[in-house]
Amino acid sequence: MEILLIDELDNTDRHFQGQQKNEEVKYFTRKHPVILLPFIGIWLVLSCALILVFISLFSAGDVSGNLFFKSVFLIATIFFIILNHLFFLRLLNYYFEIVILTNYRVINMKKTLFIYDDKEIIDLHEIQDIKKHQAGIWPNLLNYGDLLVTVSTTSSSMVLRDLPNPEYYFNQINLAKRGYILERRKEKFGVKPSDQVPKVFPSPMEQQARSASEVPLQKIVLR
Amino acid sequence: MAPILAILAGTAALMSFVFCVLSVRRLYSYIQEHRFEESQYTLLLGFMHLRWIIALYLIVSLAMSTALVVFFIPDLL
Repeated sequence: MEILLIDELDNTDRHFQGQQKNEEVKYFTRKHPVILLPFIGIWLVLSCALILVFISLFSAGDVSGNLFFKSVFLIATIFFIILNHLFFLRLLNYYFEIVILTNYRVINMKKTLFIYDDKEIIDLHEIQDIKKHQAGIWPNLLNYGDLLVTVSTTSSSMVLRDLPNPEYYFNQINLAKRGYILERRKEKFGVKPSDQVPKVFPSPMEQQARSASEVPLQKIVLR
Repeated sequence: MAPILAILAGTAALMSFVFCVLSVRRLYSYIQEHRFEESQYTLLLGFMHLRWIIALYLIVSLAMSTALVVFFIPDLL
């Protein structure tokens, strides 16, 4: 009997290509489905128009004998086929645009089936600032918005557009960043176990009390 | 003229189906590369799996190609 020894910590290429050995996927998300609405609307209008063309063609009489009607039918059918291909490609492309949050980085994949294959990565320790942008009636009603992740080293920033529940991902990226920084500090300086990442965000009063009671990190380093 | 239309229709039907198969093949390789645990928060409208859309796409493409061929094939015979 063959016994397979599987290293559970080895996550290399486990969920996506390029995943590192100790990298864990915390969350992944796609864009809010509301971004498909304009496309579905156009598809519905054009499909209804084409169906009307088909109905009028067949109600006019015997299509199979008339060459003009056949030509119109062929053109309308080819147009309908192209329209359906575009519709399904748009639906499928929805599944390609993913934002992945791991314990090391934020990955923004902008991929389509045939045209684009872009990937944007920001390491958690490089993140300087995160902004949430949720303006307008629909974004607030349907709860979707943009996250702007600013990097400390360059002036460029990563924009995560049309995320569902942006507040949640805003908090999760913040938590992951703080967790990552604490982990690095632990490795470098051996920070005490009480400096764990909080499960929930403390209130401003709690934060004040905590910061007043804590010894600054610089002092620990000097000792 | 009618046979030309029939050949055009047959070519369009074939191209449509080939394009669909090509798309599904690319999708299959994508699914192999990205193995995420889907949930109601990541699926389209909370319930539509990618595999359902692929199946629907194949069925619709095949149906339209078949309809085109069936309608124009008597002109070639």
